[in-house]
Amino acid sequence: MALGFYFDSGMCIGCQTCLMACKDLHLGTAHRKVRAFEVGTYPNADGFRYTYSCYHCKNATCIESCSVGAISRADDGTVQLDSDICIGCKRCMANCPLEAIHPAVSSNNKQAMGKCNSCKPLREAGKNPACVDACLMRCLDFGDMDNLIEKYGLGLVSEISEIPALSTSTSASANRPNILVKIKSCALRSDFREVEI
Amino acid sequence: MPKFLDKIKNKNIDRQRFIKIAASISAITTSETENTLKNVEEDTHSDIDLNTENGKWIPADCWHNCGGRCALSAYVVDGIPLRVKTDDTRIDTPDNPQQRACVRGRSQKYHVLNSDRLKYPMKRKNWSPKGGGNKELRGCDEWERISWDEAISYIVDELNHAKTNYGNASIIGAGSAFLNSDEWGGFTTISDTSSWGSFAYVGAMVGIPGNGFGGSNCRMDLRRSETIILIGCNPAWSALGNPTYNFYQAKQAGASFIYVGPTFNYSADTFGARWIRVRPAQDITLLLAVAYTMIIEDDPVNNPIIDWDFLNRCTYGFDAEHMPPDAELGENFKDYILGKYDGQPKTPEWATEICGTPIEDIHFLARELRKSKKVALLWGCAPARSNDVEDFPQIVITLGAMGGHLGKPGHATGGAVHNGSGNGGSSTVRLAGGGDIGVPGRPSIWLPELNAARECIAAPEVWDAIITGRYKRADTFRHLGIESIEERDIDIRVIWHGGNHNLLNNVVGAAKGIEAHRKVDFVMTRALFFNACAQYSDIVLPLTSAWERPGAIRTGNRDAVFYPQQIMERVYECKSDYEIDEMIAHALGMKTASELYPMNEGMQLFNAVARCTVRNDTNTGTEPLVTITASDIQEWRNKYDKHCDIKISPQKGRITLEEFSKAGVFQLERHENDNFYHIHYQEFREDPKANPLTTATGKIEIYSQTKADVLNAMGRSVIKPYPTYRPALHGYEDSFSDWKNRVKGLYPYQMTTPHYQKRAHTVFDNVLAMQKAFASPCYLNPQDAAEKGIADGDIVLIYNEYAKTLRPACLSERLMPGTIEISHGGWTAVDPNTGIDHGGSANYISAPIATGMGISGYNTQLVNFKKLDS
Repeated sequence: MALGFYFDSGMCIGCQTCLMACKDLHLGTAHRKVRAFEVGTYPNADGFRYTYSCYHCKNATCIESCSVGAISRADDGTVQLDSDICIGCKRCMANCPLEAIHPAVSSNNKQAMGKCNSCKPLREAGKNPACVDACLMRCLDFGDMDNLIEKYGLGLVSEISEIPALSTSTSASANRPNILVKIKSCALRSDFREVEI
Repeated sequence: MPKFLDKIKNKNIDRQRFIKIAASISAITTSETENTLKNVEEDTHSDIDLNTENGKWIPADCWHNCGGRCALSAYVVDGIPLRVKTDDTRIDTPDNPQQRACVRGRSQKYHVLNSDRLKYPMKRKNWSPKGGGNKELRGCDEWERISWDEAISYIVDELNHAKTNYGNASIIGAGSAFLNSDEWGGFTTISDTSSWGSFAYVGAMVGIPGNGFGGSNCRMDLRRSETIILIGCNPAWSALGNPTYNFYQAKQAGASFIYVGPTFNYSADTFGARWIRVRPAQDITLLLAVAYTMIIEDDPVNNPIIDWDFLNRCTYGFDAEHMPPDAELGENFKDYILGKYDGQPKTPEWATEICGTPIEDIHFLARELRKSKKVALLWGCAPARSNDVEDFPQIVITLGAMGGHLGKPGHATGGAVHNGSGNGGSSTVRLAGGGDIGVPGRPSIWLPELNAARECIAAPEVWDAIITGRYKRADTFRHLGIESIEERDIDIRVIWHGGNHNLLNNVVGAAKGIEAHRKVDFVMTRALFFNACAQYSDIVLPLTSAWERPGAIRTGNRDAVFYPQQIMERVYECKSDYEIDEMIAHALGMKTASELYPMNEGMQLFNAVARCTVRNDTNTGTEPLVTITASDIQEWRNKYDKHCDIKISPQKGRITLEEFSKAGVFQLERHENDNFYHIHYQEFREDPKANPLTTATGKIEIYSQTKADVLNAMGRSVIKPYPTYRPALHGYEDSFSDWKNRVKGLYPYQMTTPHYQKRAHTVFDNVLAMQKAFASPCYLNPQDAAEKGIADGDIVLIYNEYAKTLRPACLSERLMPGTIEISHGGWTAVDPNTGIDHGGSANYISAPIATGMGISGYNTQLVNFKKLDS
């Protein structure tokens, strides 16, 4: 069993409600990002949006990169950062292929890193992560990866390198991310450009 | 020290928690003694767990004119809102979705607790009473804090002075009931076609309800359509909340989408729409050619496209055999299309060069509109918010009628606008009598026919009228009649920003608007923030947000009604619009003050709650929504006003007051094939005589004598009774200095101003969290940008003969070459040294000119642009 996010890139309208819900819950820092891309040229342009936070990877390089042991795998399999232990050295940030870890205001107001905790306290109270229940298009979900595959069908992608717009110099795929994406077909194209929302 | 802060500081709470809570409002505390306007970098509020017993979730208002109506709640600890959440009162399904708040609602906390909040009444330092002092300094003067007593006293003196010396008509503005009362005698109103564009007047004349917002079927019926055509419509940007999700259900059910517009927008790509491109304000040209194709290709036996039965029974003016009884001109639509009157058949070949739509797309659209297909032909009002597009409502309903796409399941011709986007029909749960406040018997502040001053200026001409002292009273025929149309003198002395219109941002030609503000004797603004209206005022009054008021009933979303309640105490010295008006009316010594302001806002709210209705199970009538007991009445009286003469008796409703208070939302349960479907025009289609429309003849008027008579009487344009091609002022044709030889002019780019996810009109533009999330760029076609050497992120100067503004560039292949987009609602922020706006205010550079019926032509603006400092 592994927990992770599901995202339908064909439904997302880039409204950033997920981001604002995340920010509201996490001391004013949004751990989620929303990016917009275009492919093709006029008059055959198309577009898609992509939202992501920490993938809670199976092979989470951030855990090993932390010299003080602030990042660990929680009992439910998600990757958690303890800001009380964190010294804010940013090594994890450099080791995250997603740049999903960043400096953030912590609860005790110290300089520390922050990342998506998959709203673990909320989930333990029987709710979904805030972003999931905020989404206007219902294109985000969270849960056991096998259950998500069952719920949303085949053709979901965990190998993010299949989306050229999201390939980075450090391959996220090597980290075996716990993410399932229903890819909009135009997102598979390599003639992408990132655009402002 | 504001009460709000006293309350926090006097609380006996442990030190660490106090620091955390105080930090959440640091924005307010640290800037308490100064009026500097600095943005806070997000909040740094406490991490108090959501499940703590210390706080309480309270349904919270999201009160803006945004294109949605959703549920929001705030988590309040010791009177401080720390978190927000949205609807979790039901299991979320496509048939009965949660009313989820959007990014704007989610940032409401940052909005309400923003350090930019106006805190005290203020007076401009170099203003002097009865004349205005140094008026040139408006916009760049210093400010002095004054008391409420001083502020009200100044205001009363200025109102009396203006009325006595220059008459009621010397006061212009909106928003205050007492100004419109018989006792006061009225004021000059501004009539703005605003969001509706040409639908505002023409819609009802040709058979379209709701100023263009109505006419479409409900969301459940949308799933029965095979083809959904969206013209100038982008719910993914302009109608957050559930509209786009509702449309998506139709896609899931198998509908294919067509998008018609100058930009292949987010809605279009989300719905997988086929893009039919058309230049801004050229929709009429395109649709005339579509009509031509339908007429030419139709063969009732072998290729039936046109629904002749519907045209025959339900419309007037399509051809010579179906002219309305009041027709004065012996011309009809079909013969115009075929070129009988001007020698120019409206062929796709003729249209393509003007409107930019490929011929094959025109053919495609015409064939899709065939009568055998279940088509929903839906518009946004963006194409109608252009100069010289009085015929847009008529051509679009003409096409719908030609295909017979009205009044049948799966067939619709109507608006997909605002919170009814993708969900047509009047609300199943609503406030009886309409409106959000629920005080009966107050004079309308909007209708000029009730206004004794009987002066009403079209918004695009208002600044000129103030500056020149002349104006054309022409746009108010709806209420005053054609006989009122004439040139008149006007002597405006007072500008009263008493509504929520933010005129120096939302009315075209704000650059000239600033000049007008510097001419008059007195300008008053009340606002939450130091917006452009406040900046160019003499006296500024701080408003409470809806979170600091007793609550509200919010309607508009067809499925649900919302009951947000007070979240926090008022900050600083803020007061509500209602309280301020009540104070002024009493200070003016008005005898009718207590009739105009009959009860406090708490009792108003109770009145509104009690008057909520819900459709009964058979959808044959309404019944009270909320059960009210005798003890409820007593409790509210005790809380808000023991002596209030409120006429509410105990009643039996669908839910208890306590249930409604707790949930903050009531939503009518829906399921497939239930009784609550809305099929607009169904009764009309079945029996047009027994169910006449709003037109003069009761039928859909493809020829409307009323339209021609009324609009031509205004004297701005010459308009036929049927829809025709007319080049628009500042449209594509005007982008050439020599149209015949196609020589481009000085301002060759067509600028449009789409509604944007970041803002509800201008609201939220100043919220830092939103500024971080949304770039508010100008969108440019890469080909156009390349010619100017502009790359992504470059700062671009956009300019025309009226003004200049700045925006970072974002290159997008979604735009037609020759077009540029600046999203609507950026705050006017003019550098006093250069006159250049830094806020991306589209209306700062828009032209203060009205055409035809006086439309605010936001989407017909010509500009040029260049890289800054190049």
